[in-house]
Amino acid sequence: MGEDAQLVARIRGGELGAFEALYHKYKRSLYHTALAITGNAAAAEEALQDCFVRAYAAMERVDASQPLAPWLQRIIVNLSYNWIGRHQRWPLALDAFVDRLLTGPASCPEHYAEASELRSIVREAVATLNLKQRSVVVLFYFQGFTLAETAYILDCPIGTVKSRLHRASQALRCQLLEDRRLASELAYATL
Amino acid sequence: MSSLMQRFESGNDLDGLWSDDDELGRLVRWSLSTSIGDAEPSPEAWHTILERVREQPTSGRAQPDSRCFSAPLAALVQAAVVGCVLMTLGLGVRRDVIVARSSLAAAVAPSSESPPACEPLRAAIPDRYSLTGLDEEERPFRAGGNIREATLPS
Repeated sequence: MGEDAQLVARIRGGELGAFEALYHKYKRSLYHTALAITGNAAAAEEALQDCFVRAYAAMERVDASQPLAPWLQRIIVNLSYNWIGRHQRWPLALDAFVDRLLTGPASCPEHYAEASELRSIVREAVATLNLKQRSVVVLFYFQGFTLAETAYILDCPIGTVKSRLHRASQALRCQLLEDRRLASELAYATL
Repeated sequence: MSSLMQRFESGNDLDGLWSDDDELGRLVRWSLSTSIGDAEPSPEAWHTILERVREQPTSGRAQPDSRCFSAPLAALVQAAVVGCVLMTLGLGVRRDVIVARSSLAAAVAPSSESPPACEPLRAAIPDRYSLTGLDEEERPFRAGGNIREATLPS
């Protein structure tokens, strides 16, 4: 019996300690997904709370023989979609949030500035994607789910995931290549 | 950064889009990981979840939908109301005679045969306050499903 299955069995028996273990096992991954989709830390935390409350209520119905990660991701992606639908805020909040994260000390200021700029460029390019393409990019590239898992999480066929990835990839390439900051870097590199 | 972007710019990996070696994927993963990879939910999040979970009556069990209760409860209430109405009609109306509603409205006791105690009350109510303004002798009554003008049975 897998770790998730054991946790589910203990949770069904009313053991809240097992539920806490489940929370700590998946909280970061789920929080990152919600944060990457919504771009808002408060919304991500709210989605995380709702996600685990719903998961607890549905614990009797879940298939314990399967890993819980895709199922939990499916819940939090839907909750993030709901939040986006209510607020339509992207990506200003994420920018502010990431700016706070980037205030840590850097061993090499020049390298830090360069990496920070590239990070900003890519993040902005991801932000230009529509919600469906952004979700696919977050789940497949960022979270590392397989195509099948991504399809399950987004409740769509694998072919749809592939086409969304393809379009997202094309859009990202266009965005990045048209960015003047990267263009100057590329020109400098080819000299 | 430049070397990475040079490789990315070539676009030769379009066919290998879904491979782990995809440069674009690595670039996105690196960007998002370094941007939000250190982010964590606040410690209060778990306490909030715990409080909300403890409010649920059954631990770890699927909560019954409130709508599941509403339908049987509504049916039960409807059945009770219909039962009361039928019981009232059954007690108040003779089996073969249904008196006009206006005449029943004046009666206090649930019987087609008005008890003597009700007579003063009925006599005290002027005709203008009655529902039809007709004398009892003029009111129709139904016997056997047919409505015809007749006098009330004594």
